[in-house]
Amino acid sequence: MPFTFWRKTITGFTLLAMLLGGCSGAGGSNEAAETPAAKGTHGMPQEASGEMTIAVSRDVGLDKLDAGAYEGSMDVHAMIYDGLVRYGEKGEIEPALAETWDISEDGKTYTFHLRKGVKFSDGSEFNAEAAKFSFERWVHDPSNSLAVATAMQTLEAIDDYTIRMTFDRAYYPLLTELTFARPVRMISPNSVEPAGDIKGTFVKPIGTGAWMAERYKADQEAVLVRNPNYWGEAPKLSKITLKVIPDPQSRVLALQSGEVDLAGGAMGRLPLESLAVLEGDESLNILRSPGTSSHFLIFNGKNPQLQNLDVRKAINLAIDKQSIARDLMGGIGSEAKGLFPATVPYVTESNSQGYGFDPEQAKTLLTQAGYADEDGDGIAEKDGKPLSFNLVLQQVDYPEWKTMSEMIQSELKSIGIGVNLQVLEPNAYYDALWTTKAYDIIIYRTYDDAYNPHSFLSSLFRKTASAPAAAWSDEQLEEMIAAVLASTNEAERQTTYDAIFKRMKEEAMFATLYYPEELFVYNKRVRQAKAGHTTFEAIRWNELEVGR
Amino acid sequence: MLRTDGIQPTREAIEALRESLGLNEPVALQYVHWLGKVLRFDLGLSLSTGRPVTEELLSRLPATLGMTLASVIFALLLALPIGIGSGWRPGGWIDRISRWVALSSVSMPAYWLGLLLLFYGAVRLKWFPVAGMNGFKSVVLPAVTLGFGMVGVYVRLIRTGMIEVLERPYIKAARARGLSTPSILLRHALHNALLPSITLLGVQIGSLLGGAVIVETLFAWPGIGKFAVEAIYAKDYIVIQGYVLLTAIIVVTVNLTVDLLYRRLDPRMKLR
Repeated sequence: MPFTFWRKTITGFTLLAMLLGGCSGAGGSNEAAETPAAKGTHGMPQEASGEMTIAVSRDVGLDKLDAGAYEGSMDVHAMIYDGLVRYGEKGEIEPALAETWDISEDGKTYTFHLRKGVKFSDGSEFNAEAAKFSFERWVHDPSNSLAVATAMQTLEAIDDYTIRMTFDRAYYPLLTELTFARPVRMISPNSVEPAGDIKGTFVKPIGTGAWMAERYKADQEAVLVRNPNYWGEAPKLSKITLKVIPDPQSRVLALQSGEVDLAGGAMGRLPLESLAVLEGDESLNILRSPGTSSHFLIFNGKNPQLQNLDVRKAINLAIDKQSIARDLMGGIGSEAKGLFPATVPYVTESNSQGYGFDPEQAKTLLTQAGYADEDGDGIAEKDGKPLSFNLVLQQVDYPEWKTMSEMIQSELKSIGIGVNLQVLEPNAYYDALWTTKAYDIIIYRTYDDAYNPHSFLSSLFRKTASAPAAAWSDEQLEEMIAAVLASTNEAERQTTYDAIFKRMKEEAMFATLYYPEELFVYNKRVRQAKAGHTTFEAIRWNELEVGR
Repeated sequence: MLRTDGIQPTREAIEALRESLGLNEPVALQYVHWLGKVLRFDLGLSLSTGRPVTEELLSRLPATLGMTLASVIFALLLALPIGIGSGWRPGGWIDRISRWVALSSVSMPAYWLGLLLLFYGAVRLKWFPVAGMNGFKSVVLPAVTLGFGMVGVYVRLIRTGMIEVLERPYIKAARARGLSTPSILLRHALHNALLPSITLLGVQIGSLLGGAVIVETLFAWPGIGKFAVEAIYAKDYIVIQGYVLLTAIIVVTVNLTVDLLYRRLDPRMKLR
């Protein structure tokens, strides 16, 4: 009979509906689900105080998080392992596992006095032997380009709590290198098998840091708990779960649903187009952390038109840096002035001046240089040669460069400079940047954190044995960079950096664009969310607290 | 792959990697070596994780197969009643609904549907988790997202099959014997109407595995699709190669199984 069939069909549909929706134990009314009590139904222990969940975009690799290798998440590296010294505000070197240190007169011998009574998370003792072990696992690897490795001559334990390193040259950023997340941090000899063997195989991450590994499911989550043996002030939270959510939109949704408490930064970037939604969400707060990098345009010194200083100045003046930060980047970040933002060591208000935005003056400069639009096509010419450049970019690693370049293209057009955009695949882009120099103008960024300013300057503005400087070549600048790197006197370094930044601006060696910021969004139940000083410690994990 | 931070690697590092990957050998020799290793299930080491690709892929395969299976079950649960209902009374109200279901099923992109389901199911109602593999509840949204795309095709296929089969004399005979409608539909007609759907399942396994790439990324499902996306971003060619090979093997195996299964399901095939 038809209705017997209908009864069966309807039962089938009901079962289906129950399977789809009813399988949730909390599948009640909307209002019930909105109350905090119902949050516990996600299977995440949200309610136990002192625990929080963070969204990360990729697997943190806890099983291969060797202090001496470049594997896994840098952020987690820095949570589990401590270095001898720490990167403080504006790159000031702060004591960590070394309480004090002495540097010899010639800048080639470093003696570190280690903190006493420090234990690794497994209970074993941190001493000079452990420190020596940590370094010896990687310093002899020829592929390591850190000066700590390439310039090191001897490494010895003087007594239980003193180690001494000698180097073949004076290089002031050595201490800065020792603040890196890897490979310079201290690892327990029990982390490898056989224990204490510098050639041993890494088996387990054991450090002296505030956090230690508890549980790890590859591609899914990593759970860190407070290290009971931590030598510093104990973290407020007892547990941090890092949950892998690769899709940016899903991270936004996970924040909105309360499934994760914090997301953002380099570990789980949030899409800028969702900023309005996140700002409008009453359960969420936003934290901006000023970065240490900047985006800028490199000029090719081989291009005869760009060899004219007035042309380079005109390009600088024609770009509205304020509008890039405000309109293109949604106010996340700020207008660029000098090559480095003020968070970088040796950068001061007075030595880091940019060109501002003045298209009228830019036009005057071009006229002064002998350029005029004679054929009425909107592009200025000189001796019949149009003032036109190709601008090379890539948009895989930096999608924002596309819109920035388009804006620059239209701004330069308005003062009579033609720009042809050339979007390359990342590998081709890096080949153009480093090897082939197949560009007139190329957009690039400065490195992060402790690489600034010394390491970035020397890799872009100094010639190597085989090639001229990657960016603008200037002999006077190269001499000053060489001098500052070997200088052992702080005041002298500041003076030299002032001169370096001044020379760069006077010669308009590049055009600065934008200082990015890191954006974090967190649940309102999280308190004391504060920005750190480096990208790998973008949040001060130890100070975070959670409430109801 | 050495340039993870956009920082230029040293010449020595590039040379060492080239040597370890055997890129200094002639292409033909490289291929022979690769083939020899593949036959021993050695797909090489992943450039980004440093572990054997075979191991990496096989450890993630169950998650993908589980989700794919759940999505097929969902698709059939939805498609069967609608397909049978619309084939039983073509032009009736179930048939009219079925047209809309089929249309939205084939035209809705999985990424968009997934986001909608996440927004309503996880953010608003908070019934399901947004991300991760964590028990039965977490499989629902990904399976629905992946399965819904198949529903339309199945509905239409089952409908056509039903209409065709219901015309057959043996159905008339069954009616004449006074059997109830459900009995005719489910016991006599459905069996034959389902045969084309089985073939389709074999063909669709490829697109299912392809769709899993998007769905796994969206729902943070730790399967081979998400792993492949990460490998593509990291330019981990060794993993991409292994992934393509593995999915090809799965598609071929499933199709072969379906062909063999056919002989058991439809005895008429044996006679030919």
